[in-house]
Amino acid sequence: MEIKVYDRILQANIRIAERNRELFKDKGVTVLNLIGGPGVGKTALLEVTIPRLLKRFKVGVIEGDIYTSRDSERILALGVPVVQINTKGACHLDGNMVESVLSDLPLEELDVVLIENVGNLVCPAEFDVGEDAKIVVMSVTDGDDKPQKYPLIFRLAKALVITKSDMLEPAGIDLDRLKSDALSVNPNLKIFLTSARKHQGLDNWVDFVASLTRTSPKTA
Amino acid sequence: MHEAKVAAGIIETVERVARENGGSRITGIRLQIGEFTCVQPDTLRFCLQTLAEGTIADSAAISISRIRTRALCAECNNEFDVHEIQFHCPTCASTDIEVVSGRELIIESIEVE
Repeated sequence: MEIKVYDRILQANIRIAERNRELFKDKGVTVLNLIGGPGVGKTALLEVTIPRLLKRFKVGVIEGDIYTSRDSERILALGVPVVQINTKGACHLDGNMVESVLSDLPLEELDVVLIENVGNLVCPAEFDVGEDAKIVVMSVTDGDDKPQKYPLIFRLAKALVITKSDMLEPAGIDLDRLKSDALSVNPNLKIFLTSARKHQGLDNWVDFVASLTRTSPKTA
Repeated sequence: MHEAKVAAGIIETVERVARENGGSRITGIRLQIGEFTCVQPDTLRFCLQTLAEGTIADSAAISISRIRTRALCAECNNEFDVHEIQFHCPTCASTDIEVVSGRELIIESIEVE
């Protein structure tokens, strides 16, 4: 006997992500999901972004990591609330993992929550966690073929942050090709070229993050 | 390897649906997997076969249809296949397009005894 099912396979995750999204909206907090491969500098980007955001906003962080708490220790040094999710081998954060740590963050007091996903450009694209925007992060040393190889995340993201611009010369990357391929996949993608080490290109990026916030900043 | 997690969700659903319909054995599972997803069909099939061991879906035949990435142009209403990263209308070149298929991750039907 054949039984028609027509069930969305990730329905459970979609439901939880929607619940998270409602909660974020309710609390007036903007949530960004930073997605990029291992070593592209996601944590370094947070380390230079957060102090700039703190001049205007209250910021919290959710750190996804397969096993360690090394990244969250770096964020903790910035004096912002941070919760760690160890996925214990899983290649991405999902809605449920994020939901399970939300009670550990003072959402009422926060304007922006930055989620650093597990270092991976593939799987996190498929798992909505309830964020307002996915941000794809890649470095100039990753090569200029990433939009071609991973179009889904470039299509779903609102912005692309290219890191390590101080390495542009030695990396020998075709930046124009990278940008035009990224825009070919997603014409609305905002692109920021940054260097955490040299503190370059960060103002535009921070202004973009600020433009996504929903309310006037919460006061202490 | 998120296919393992995806597969676990599929097994859970098909077992539940089979039982709700009085089935004691699942002999077939039909899935639709879009090309514009992060799910690799061969990996998914392997994970499903592994996870089905010892369940009522143990010997189920797994059939996976691939759904092409297609988009609809908001300017000229043309529907077209998206090739590689060409996310624009081949007729009028507009980039104001909506992806209408290719994102499917769907359990279409099961065969039960």
